[in-house]
Amino acid sequence: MVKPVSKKVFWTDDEIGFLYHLDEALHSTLDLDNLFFIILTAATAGPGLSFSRAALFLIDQERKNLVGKMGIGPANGEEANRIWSQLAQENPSLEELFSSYSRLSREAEFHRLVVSLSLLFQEGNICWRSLLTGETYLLSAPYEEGLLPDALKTLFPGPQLVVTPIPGRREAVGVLLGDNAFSGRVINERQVQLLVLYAQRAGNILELIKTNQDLKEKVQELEEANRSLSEARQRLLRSQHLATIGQAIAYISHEIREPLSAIGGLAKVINRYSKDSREVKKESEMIYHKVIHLNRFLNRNLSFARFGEQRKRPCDIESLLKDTCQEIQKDLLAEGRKEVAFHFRLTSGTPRVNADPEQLQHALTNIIENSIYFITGLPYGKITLETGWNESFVEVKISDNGVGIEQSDLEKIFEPFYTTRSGGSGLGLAFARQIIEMGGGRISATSGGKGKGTTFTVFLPREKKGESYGKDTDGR
Amino acid sequence: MVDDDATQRLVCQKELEAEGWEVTLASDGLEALEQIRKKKFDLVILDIRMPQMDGLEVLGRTLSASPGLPVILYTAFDCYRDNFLSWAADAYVLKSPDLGELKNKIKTLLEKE
Repeated sequence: MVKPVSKKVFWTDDEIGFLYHLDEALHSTLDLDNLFFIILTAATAGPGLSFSRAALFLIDQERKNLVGKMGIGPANGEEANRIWSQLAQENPSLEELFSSYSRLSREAEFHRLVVSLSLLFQEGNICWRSLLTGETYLLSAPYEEGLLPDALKTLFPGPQLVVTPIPGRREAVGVLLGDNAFSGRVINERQVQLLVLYAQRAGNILELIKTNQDLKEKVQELEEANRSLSEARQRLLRSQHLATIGQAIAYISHEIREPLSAIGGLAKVINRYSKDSREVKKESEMIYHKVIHLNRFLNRNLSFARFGEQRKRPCDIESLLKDTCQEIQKDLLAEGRKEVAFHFRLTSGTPRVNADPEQLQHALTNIIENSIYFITGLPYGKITLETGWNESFVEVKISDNGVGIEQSDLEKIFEPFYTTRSGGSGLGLAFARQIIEMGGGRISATSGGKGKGTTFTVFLPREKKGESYGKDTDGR
Repeated sequence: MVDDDATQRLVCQKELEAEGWEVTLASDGLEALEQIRKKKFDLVILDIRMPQMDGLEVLGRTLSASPGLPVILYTAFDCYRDNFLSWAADAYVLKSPDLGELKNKIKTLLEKE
């Protein structure tokens, strides 16, 4: 038999007192499981409603299944006797009961049976009917055909069962069930009314908790967005800063190159054609070499003045690295340095990268020259180049066995004009990072500390299949 | 060899004559055009930034007066490289204390003749 239950009721002082404690307990938690526990405890506790068992089902996000969330109460008569005699001995207060969530046994058979249930919509299923109509029902065994699925029939064999909806902001979000399986006491209208009230309370707090969780997620999203915004702003500032430096360098370099080539050329002329002493020859030669050195410095830094646009295309990183090292080795030998050894540990089959080869080579040159500075003076200077890749990036590692960098200086080395090298411009690594980041990659440095070498790790975006090349892309 | 800078002219003259080439100097565009009109040259080396008439204009006038005369733009600035007027030149060489590249370009162009 099914009986919808009317809602008008007047509460006694005791009941209002109990509700007060219940509300206090409910508001003390923002944890869903704890909330379920308090509601179900209220429904089963002696001072509360003394239902034999109570269970809570919530509808899933797609509103397709009513999923068992928690059940409290004994699974059989034996367990019932044990629990009730224990409770009679302890005689816990309401506060004690509500705050004993940590003692909830997830191994208890009734609870396990409840959470194993997932009820698909079924015409006539009393849980679904209660959820959709918002009505509360009191059922008496034997149940009519189709009112309860077999699993629920086994779980709640009777003699009576109450089903009441848990209201949400717009529509019900679940159902609360209570029975009198082992007490055998007839469920009265008052008990039902109170259970309806508990369910409503539970619904309110459930909404509160959900809103709270949504808010937390939103706050997290906002914080995330804020962080990436400020990073982007940092990058933009850095890039503007470097662009200004680049323009200044371009202007100065051009102005200097004209007289410089004249000075160097003249030194060469004096050296070659002068009939003066050997001393003049030697000194003009020195002028010439200094000028050549300065000219090379200008040329290298000048190429950054135009780094605004990147002409990206697929590049073979292996040959790029080898070419770069060869160039550097040539310069080193010209300066009479033979102690630097390059070790290649390139993984065969490394995918191509999507980059501006000329600019990337400048970036790599700067990084490697920096590493060479670190090993200057060592009898066994070694620079190791490694490659690897993941699904979106090719990784290039450039390590040296040189003097290393203090942990606190690791981030600073990429800042413009920061240098520990005598004669260093402090721009090499700043420009290298700029080029790499503008190409959609990133660079970082690690060091074991003073005397323990430095490793630069560069991630470069892999060639994208099916993308058209030849167009200028700014990479960001 | 056209350049407004006397040192640059001197260096080029010494270096190129040492290679066995005969070098005529001009200190600005008008003087250069005048010389080209009077005498037959095998090749012109042109600075770009010069007072009165810049190298690119001299280049245009030279080519219309003597089509086929090889011209090398020789400048401290690489920003003219993308200027379409410079495309008409046979070579674009950045000024450097080391005249190696300039000499190589001259050799290549003279061999083509």
